[in-house]
Amino acid sequence: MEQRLVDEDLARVMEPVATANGLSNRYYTDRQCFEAEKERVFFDNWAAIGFAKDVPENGDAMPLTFLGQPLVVIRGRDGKLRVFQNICRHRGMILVREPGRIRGAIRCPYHSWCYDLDGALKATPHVGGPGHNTHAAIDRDALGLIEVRSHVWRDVVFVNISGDAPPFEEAHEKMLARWREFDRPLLHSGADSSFKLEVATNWKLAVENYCESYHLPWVHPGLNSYSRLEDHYHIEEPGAFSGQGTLVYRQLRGDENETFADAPGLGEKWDTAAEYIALYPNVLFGVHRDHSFAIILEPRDNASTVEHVEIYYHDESSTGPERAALRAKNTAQWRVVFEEDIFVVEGMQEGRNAVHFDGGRFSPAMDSPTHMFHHWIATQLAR
Amino acid sequence: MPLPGPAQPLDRLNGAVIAAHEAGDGMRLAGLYGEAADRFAEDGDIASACFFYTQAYIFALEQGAPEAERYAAVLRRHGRL
Repeated sequence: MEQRLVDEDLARVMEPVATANGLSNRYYTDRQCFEAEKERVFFDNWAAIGFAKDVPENGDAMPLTFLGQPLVVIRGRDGKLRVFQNICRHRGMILVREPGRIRGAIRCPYHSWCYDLDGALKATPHVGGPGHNTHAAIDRDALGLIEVRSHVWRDVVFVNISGDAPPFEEAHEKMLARWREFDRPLLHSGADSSFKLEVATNWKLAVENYCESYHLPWVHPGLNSYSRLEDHYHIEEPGAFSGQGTLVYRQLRGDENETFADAPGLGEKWDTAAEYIALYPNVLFGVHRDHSFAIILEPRDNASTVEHVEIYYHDESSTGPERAALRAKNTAQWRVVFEEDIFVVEGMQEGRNAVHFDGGRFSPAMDSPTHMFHHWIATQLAR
Repeated sequence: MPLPGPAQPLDRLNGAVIAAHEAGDGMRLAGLYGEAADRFAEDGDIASACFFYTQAYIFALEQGAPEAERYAAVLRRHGRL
């Protein structure tokens, strides 16, 4: 009976936008739904867990916990970034507790089994008895760290924990093609272009809000002066991403009318266009001629999400000290915009406690990118 | 095989080893264990020496110290690695 009800809920979500309901309350409040989502939405797809800039040098390691999974991101001696389950193959002990540089090997703090940066098991001290460091039963070649499939795009580290998703380049072929013009190194200037917001909402509501421009005149009145609703367009790629674009992007200017340098080689479209895309499931990207950003949504629980915001530039002249004031202004401006969204995503989460709420309805004209996301979630959960 | 008993060479080094453990000073630990191992080896106590060479090897390996290879070579020579 319970399963049938869930299926009926999801079927309503998958109707055309004009007749569909949104995901029902349980997908925002129920523990079992959160657990199902963890497996089917996050582990079975390419989920964003962190930023490659945080492991800049060979040997850098960054432990993190994503949806309860202990992971460690390591840049190897070969410069390649890898993600492993952050556990020793011996007794499952957590290996790396703090971010930092690994000089030689990763030593488990329990019995000191040691792993190379590429995950290979290098040493098993006393495993055959005191002073005997091998044992016939312990095949070191078969006991390396458990690697999780990973891929870096636009500095975001994605993982496919189940190992079953199509390769990233295949799964997100259309996304990669859409922004190929921006395919160049992203430059990050450090703490002045980085912040996080802890929000009392379900992660999906942050995606839903990001996807549509409908709310802009009401929630972001500051954008209204030059960025009117009719200057926006929908971006929709079923099963992969959705969002919005603007046709009237204006560069930020400093006190002396200075601007950030453009990414070289962009087409004319980008003189005034900017795009904001939610790449399913949990990363929100923005691109402009002179800067980009990425927001990773870290679901802590049904009603708790951390938004990790990183702003990038396209030219070294933008990350030097001479542009520090303009960067500060840019970061502050985006912080205002993202903070303006907090009351709505928290308000919608609170609203999911209303027992008679039916998941809501969508404006067929304005909400189709949001419905597309709901449809994708429902498709994942109904599999 | 029993663990080495109250080891005379280590008695002298014991305080230094504990301090290095507390400080998380892997390079120092590698050196101290290596010193203890060499003393046992000089005395012909291969079992104890290999225990301490193992300790030295692991900390040197963790630190990426070149001494790791010397300790590894000794352990290999005794069929312990």
